[in-house]
Amino acid sequence: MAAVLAALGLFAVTALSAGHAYVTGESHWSRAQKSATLALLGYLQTGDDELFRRYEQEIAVPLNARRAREAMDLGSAHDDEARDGFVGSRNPAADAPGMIRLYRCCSTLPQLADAVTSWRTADEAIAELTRLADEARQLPAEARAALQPRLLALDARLTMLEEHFSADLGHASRLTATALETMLMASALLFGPAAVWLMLRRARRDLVATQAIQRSEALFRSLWDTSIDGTIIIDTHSRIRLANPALHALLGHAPGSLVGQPLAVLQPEQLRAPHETGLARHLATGERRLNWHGTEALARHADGHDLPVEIRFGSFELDGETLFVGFLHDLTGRKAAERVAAEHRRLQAQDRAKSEFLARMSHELRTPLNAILGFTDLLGAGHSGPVTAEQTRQLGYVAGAGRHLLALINDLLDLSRIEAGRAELSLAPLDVADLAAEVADQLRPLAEQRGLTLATAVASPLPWLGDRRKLAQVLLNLVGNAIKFSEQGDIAITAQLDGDRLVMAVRDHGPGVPEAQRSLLFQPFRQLDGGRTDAPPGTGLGLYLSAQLLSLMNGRIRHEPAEGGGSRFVVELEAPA
Amino acid sequence: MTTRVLLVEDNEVNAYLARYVLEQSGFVVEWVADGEQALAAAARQRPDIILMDLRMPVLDGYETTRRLKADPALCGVPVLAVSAQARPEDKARSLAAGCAEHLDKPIDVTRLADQVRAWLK
Repeated sequence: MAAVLAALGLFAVTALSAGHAYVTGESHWSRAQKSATLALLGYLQTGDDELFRRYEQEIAVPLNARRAREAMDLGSAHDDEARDGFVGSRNPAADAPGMIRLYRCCSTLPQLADAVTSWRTADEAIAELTRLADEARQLPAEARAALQPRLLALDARLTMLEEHFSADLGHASRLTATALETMLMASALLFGPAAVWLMLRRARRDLVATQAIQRSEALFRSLWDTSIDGTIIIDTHSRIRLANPALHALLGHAPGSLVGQPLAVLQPEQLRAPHETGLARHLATGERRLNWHGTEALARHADGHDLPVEIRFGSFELDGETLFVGFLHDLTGRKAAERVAAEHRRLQAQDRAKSEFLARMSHELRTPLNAILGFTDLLGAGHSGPVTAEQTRQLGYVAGAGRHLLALINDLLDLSRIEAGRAELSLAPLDVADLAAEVADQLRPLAEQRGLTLATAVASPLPWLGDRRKLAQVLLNLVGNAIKFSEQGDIAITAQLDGDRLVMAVRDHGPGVPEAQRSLLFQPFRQLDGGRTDAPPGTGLGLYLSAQLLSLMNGRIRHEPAEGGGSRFVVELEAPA
Repeated sequence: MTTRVLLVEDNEVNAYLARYVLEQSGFVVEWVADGEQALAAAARQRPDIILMDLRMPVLDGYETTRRLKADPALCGVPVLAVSAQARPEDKARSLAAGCAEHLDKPIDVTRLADQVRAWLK
């Protein structure tokens, strides 16, 4: 009994370590097939024989593993062949006998059988890879690139198969280990508590290590797949080993399609040579010319345009190989915001310059007008000595022209303020009846001088919330125009509420506005023919300015022919919100 | 009793105009061409009222008015801005500096004397 248990225990220990050897062997297998695929891809692209030799060297690993399996299937007479196969696939020679024994005794167990099936399927894909390599070898260099899509598809299939193989093997290995550990427990009864403790500790350490790897893998996957920034891993030949989903999306490539491609496909032409130079220098001297903590650069999108990105680099060692990891942060949005901000600053500066210019212009024009109007009025009033009737008339023309110029300056400044968005409304409650009366009082002397009557018809009080000065400016302009163009009859100012709106109108009995000229009424510097010659000339800005003032006040103006001749200018204002 | 007006104006022709109009109305006018001279003249002899141009060399009208208003001996003298700077913000600025009123250029020669008299007690 004791002897049986001891034998079982011994078997269990060797079987456990053989299982471990298979798991290690599988990782050699998968790394070698990946390297072989990449080397072959490089060879298809560059025709470099060195890469083909590398391919042959790497593909030997899965081929030898296959040789070992097929030898084991043939029976114990072929154990030497199987051992050579394992050694050729980078397994330590000492592990080979245990691996062969485990395969013999347990490969028909359901869990192990799954792993062996995966292995066989993967080997079929490897065989296809070698056929593709042979084909490439026979093709002329320029035709080889055509094989790339097939190779990439095969690579994707191999990656999937390898994952199955690895998962099945891991599963089988764990189950076998559990079964064997149970046997060990039994044999351990013989060897005493010390052995039990040793075995348990070993099993526990393996379990902890496996869990740590699984946790690390889960963590890596979640970061890799979730990252909002493009992430890429390249080797020292600037070939893309891995690229995360965000990078594919950012640069417009189909998911997974970048793996195996040269980094150059993501670089604008002008960045390729500097990159190669910098990489070579870094590999030779360790020097880092670029700021690895964030450098602004450009990345080439699949559709050919370049987008601004911030790049951050890092490097690390994996299985004795130096790899580089890069993070690409899309700067398109930030750049656009910067452009908008710069444009905003430019417009603000332009606006300030324009405002300053207008202020100066106003000052420079008013200063000489002060002298012109002041002395003309003094002379005309006879303060500086007697003037003849003829001189009085002529001084009147100078004064009239001076005032016209002043009106023009004032209108232009008002307009430029409105257009610059600098005109501010000063809203206050007001009585429209009072406002109309004030305007009428101001212009009635002029109207009567010309034989016209000026009347208001506004129910008092008519309360409204508005900018009194600007409303008065509009009414003064409209009534002033009416006086200027009327030969006879009365002029009436009316106002009433229409729901929430205020409707004001100025009606005259003048000649009206000819159909053809109506569209020009509210255009700047357009003046109608037919104004009275004894009226002061207008600036040509009055109605245009009125319309602008009204639109500032959420209102509008229109002209309509009045019944019985003459014109009616109607102003409508919405109540301020 | 004579009323003394200190006229601060850098443009000679416009100074002559205002001075002529005011003297015609019986005021005694002292004319200076910038803010520094205005401060010196006011310190030498306290005027009854000051007409102040705003845009001037050496010391502008805003700063001159602020200094006059900071002087206990002169802060009671009304300062009327008379300026070709006629934008609402210019007016707000001159009133903030301490001016009692802001008269636009061109001035109305028929009303200037009355506008000055309105500020005299």
